[in-house]
Amino acid sequence: MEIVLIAWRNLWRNKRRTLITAASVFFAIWFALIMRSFQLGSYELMVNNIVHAYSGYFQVHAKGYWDDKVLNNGFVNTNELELNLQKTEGVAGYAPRLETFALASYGMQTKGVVVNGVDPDAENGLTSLQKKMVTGQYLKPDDSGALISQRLAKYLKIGVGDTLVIIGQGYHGATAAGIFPVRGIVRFPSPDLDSRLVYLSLPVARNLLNARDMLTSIAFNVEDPGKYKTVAKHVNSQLDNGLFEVMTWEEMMPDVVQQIRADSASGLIMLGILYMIVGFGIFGTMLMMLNERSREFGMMIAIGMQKGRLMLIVITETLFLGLLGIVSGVMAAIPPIYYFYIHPIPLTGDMAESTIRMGFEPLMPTAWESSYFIAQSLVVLIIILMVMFLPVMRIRRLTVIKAMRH
Amino acid sequence: MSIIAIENLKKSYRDSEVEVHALNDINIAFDQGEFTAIVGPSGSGKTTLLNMIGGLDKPDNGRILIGGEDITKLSSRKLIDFRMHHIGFVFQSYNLIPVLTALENVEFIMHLQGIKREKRLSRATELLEAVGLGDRIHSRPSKLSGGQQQRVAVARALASRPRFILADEPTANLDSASTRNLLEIMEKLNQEEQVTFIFSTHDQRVVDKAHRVIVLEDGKVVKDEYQN
Repeated sequence: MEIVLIAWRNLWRNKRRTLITAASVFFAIWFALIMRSFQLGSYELMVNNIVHAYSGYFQVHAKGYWDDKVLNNGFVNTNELELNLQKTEGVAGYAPRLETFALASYGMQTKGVVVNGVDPDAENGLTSLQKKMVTGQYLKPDDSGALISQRLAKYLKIGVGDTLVIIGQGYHGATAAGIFPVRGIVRFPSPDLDSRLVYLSLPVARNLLNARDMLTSIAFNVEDPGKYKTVAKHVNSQLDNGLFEVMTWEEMMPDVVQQIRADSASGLIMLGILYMIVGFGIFGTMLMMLNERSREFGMMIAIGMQKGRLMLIVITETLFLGLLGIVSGVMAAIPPIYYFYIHPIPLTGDMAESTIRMGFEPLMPTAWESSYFIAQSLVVLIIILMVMFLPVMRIRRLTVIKAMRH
Repeated sequence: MSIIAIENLKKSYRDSEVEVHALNDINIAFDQGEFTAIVGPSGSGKTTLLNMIGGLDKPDNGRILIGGEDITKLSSRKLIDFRMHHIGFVFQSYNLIPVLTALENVEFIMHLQGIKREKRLSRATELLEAVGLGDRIHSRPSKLSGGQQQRVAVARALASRPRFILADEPTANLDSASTRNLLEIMEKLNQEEQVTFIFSTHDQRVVDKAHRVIVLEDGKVVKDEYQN
């Protein structure tokens, strides 16, 4: 009882100093959490945009396809392969695709496009393609029409009901040419995707490209996004690794990963500086406290208190001080973080434009997960533990006579 | 048999370039129930001697036997334990724990000794009543006068049932009334409960009450006599 009681009461001996020190911890952790939540929230949105716009969490390709994305590097989708993928644990859905490059033309306009043969339902399950519809109707499983992205439609000056001409090269050099009524127009946040995508139903695409039963990729959605790498490994184990390769979105888009890592590192440096300042603040408080109470420490040891017990009092006191700041900081950070998680800040002006240009939604959400709350609290706690080293060493070296003369 | 026996005690310090012999071959013994004043001019070695007897400092030479045990040979850890169980301290400037009430200050040392709460509370209350502070047991030191704080310090020193109490100039910061009051309490404890007190003091009023007066000069005992 004595240790906790003395520590608690000592904390309030100099109320103003305690409150100022606790407030510095409070603001540090509050700013750190808010800053980190927006940072992580933006990354989460970025990843979601990438994963749910197009790539999925991971993809299965024929070996070598990713390095040379041509139809000839596609693979034949067998029933056995489908069955294996269906029963893999953690897979929430997958979208088979047959993808190639071709020329799309309407009237006097022609443009190089990505022709994507998809299973409309499966594709919708992975990328919510139907939600991206701006006008017209979504594709049916064996639809003979096409969906085209909004910027492309604008460029070609084509609308719903018009007929799109596609000319390209099919499997093994066969000529691929066809005409497809435009069923609808979809809009992608990424200008890059939005200016070059044409969707056909899978049977129609196979027919166009003379690629019977073929696919170029299968994109996967997972039940638990945190475990997509494990699911990817499971899927990989079901496949003949001589023929297939499984690539996560990170492997397919290393530049995005690099961008996130670099941004995250700069954020962490900022936090490091913030924490260093707080660390020195607490250090200063400890120093003042030690100088003020030297005589008292000497007296306590003189009357029979072991140094270890005295250290425990000071450690408890510092922990109380730190926890006061940490707990109140975390509590105060929860409401705004949760609010902006539910209602992300919409970006406007140049910032919104540049975000859209990069292919992401112009939003600034926060991340709502316990991991960074715990991580930031632990970092502050570790700083406090490091600062505690000073009083512990002082008490260890303390001699009663000198301390009581203080 | 003596409860404290000091044999050939020597202690010197370096003050700048000069070596100061704070204690120079001291040989004294104290019996149970003594009420002793150690007097002498500033720098005569009173406080150093008290620190040695209390195990707060180590001598360069000699032995201090308390109940037959040479405390100069004890490790720092054992010495702290020894002090807790066998020696009571009253310091010049009270030195109470400021965040604890009078009762908690007295109880504190018993808590260190591992005595159960009920026993602690009853003894602490009893001791505070004995020093005339039965009505101030829940007051913190800052709410007590100097004399009252020093009485709490006496109660705290007695709480662990020590073999003796060392008091370093206990009346130095007190006014006449508080000094008189404190001396009466200590005298009463000495007479009624055979508590051994050893003081260092400059205060003639304390010397007058002492049964034995030891005079130190330049670290040597120059006079050691009993008085009525």
